[in-house]
Amino acid sequence: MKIYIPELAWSPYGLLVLTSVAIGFAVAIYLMRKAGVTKHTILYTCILTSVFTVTNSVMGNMLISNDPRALGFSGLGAVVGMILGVLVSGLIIKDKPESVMASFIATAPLMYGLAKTGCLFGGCCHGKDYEGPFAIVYSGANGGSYFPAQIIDMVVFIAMFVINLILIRKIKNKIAAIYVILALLTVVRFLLEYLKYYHDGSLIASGQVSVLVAGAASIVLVTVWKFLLKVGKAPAAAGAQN
Amino acid sequence: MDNQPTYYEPVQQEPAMPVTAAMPQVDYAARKKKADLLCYISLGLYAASIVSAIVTYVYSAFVNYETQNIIFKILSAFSSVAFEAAWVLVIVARAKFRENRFAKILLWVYIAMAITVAVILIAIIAYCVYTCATCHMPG
Repeated sequence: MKIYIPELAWSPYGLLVLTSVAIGFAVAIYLMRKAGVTKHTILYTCILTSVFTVTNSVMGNMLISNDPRALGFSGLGAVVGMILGVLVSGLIIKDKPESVMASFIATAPLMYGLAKTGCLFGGCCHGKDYEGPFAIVYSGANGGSYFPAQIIDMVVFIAMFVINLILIRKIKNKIAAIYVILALLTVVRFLLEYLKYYHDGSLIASGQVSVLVAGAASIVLVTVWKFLLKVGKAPAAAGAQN
Repeated sequence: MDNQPTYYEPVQQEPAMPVTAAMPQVDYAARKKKADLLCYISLGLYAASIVSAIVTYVYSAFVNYETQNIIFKILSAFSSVAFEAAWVLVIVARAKFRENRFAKILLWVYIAMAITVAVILIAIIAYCVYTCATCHMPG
């Protein structure tokens, strides 16, 4: 059985990516409300995070393409922007910042997984040449039969979202949960790189180095943020100090 | 058993303390000044980011941007950082000085502008898609 992707007159990539981000934000808002975050905090956090996500995504695309007139989105830029937006809003508002951060970090793989539908229809980020079951077949000038890397990405990251929900519920210390989630996401993203067409077959390709650097940078950013806000103590320890 | 009285003697109420003595004084004028300053800086950065973005695009039309890469990167980075800083400052003004009307109006102006730009972009993309879908090249 093969999956045939028709050649479309226009690329739905941008629309699907924006829809995925909107769904992710809606879920993050629901998680924040459940954690008792006030409506004002949610509003300001969502505004700042949206601005940082879109601006860094467009900026990242310009820098990667080396063309100031290239209007598009970069996934890596969006992720960096989202984390920065949540960090900055936490520093300004200081209303349950660890719950706000945990909600967005837990939702990030949902956004990423759903956005992979854009890659699937757009034809980017596809797998290596493959003719077996569930191969994805594209027609047109850049056609071919490929390993279903985008579908595997989608399934794995949506499963990661479910695992993250369990982790932020089970681990009382939200900062510890954030560290565990970031480490898991880095490992999963690193392993999935082996399936991509651009992976050169080496043990650690350049794309995987970028993943490790981005993961380490995220952990350092969260650590600095934690010390600036003085959050991250376990509830019992925090209560004992009061 | 002690000979305690079984009734309560009326307690003499102390006169209430004047509110001004107990409450910390809030300097509303100073707060307004701080909030307004944040808003003016935000407005300046917002305008600078738009001007910088326009200069980047106009410049790219006249100059071979690949040879002038560093200038474009600096201009693009400045646009992004100034735009983000403008939003951060207005949110700071709104979160820390909730009574300030300028901050409230400015935030909603920014939101309205962002929505307007998004709607215009979607309309342009939809028009392009429609034009491409209905275009029949002769020959």
